[in-house]
Amino acid sequence: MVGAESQSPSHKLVARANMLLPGLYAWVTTVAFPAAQRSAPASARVTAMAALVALVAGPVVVFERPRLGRALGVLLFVALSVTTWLLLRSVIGVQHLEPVRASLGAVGWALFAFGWGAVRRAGSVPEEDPHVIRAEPLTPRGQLPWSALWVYSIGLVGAVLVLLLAWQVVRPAQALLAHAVAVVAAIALVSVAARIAVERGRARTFPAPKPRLNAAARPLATVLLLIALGFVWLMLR
Amino acid sequence: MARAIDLLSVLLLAAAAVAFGLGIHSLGARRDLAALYWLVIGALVLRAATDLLRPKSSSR
Repeated sequence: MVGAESQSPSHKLVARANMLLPGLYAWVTTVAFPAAQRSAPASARVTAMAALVALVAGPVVVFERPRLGRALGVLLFVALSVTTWLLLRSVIGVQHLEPVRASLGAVGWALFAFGWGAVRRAGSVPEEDPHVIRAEPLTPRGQLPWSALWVYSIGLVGAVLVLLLAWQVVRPAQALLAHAVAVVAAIALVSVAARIAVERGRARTFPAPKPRLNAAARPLATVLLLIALGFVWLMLR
Repeated sequence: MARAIDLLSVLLLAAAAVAFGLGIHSLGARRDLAALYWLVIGALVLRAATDLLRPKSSSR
């Protein structure tokens, strides 16, 4: 999209395909397929087809009229897709969802977002832009220790495992809860892992070990108490 | 000592991941109370790992 007006016809074709194909995939898997079910209302089929028209029209006009193209290809397409889902109601209920198709649909929507995103053109150097503000290059304030990678990896692997474990829950209501809890836990694990990884690089600025242990004493004591109660419960059972 | 506490915070991070995993596994095994138990432990362990890094923000 950056500098699109100066692109050659072949580049424009590739850019249009990048916008259209992921959206088409997302539309087929998550909008068209449920709307084509026998139990789907006719209004949902109409909005699904209108979403397809908006999806195709956006990339067609985006180079000539960028604002209109984005409005059609992104905003209107998403709005009509959401309207279709609202009209479908129970047809896309949790009990009717097929995990693999739903996952592929989510990937399709992510690719759709990337397709409409703007990236720097290959080979271009930002500093060569005529509008660039010349200044001294910023030097990094610190360097991460090699162990930061391992610490972050622990959080990342833990987050992925938690997300995968959520797919083992088969009861519909609990499965939804499990996925919600897994997403929250995964975000928390990755965030804390990043903080630990980064802060360890600045360990010299930390206060003495005693205040650090004191700060964590309350949650640690609660954990120990809960573990002790768990043992008692196991022995009494 | 400071390095030992750093190591402890990493171990607590790993323990939190295990606790969250056990919590969700228990949910799948129809043991809702055990799931709640492990999820609470996971959250507390993660909080402890953060508090070990930033003592000032957690001191009241």
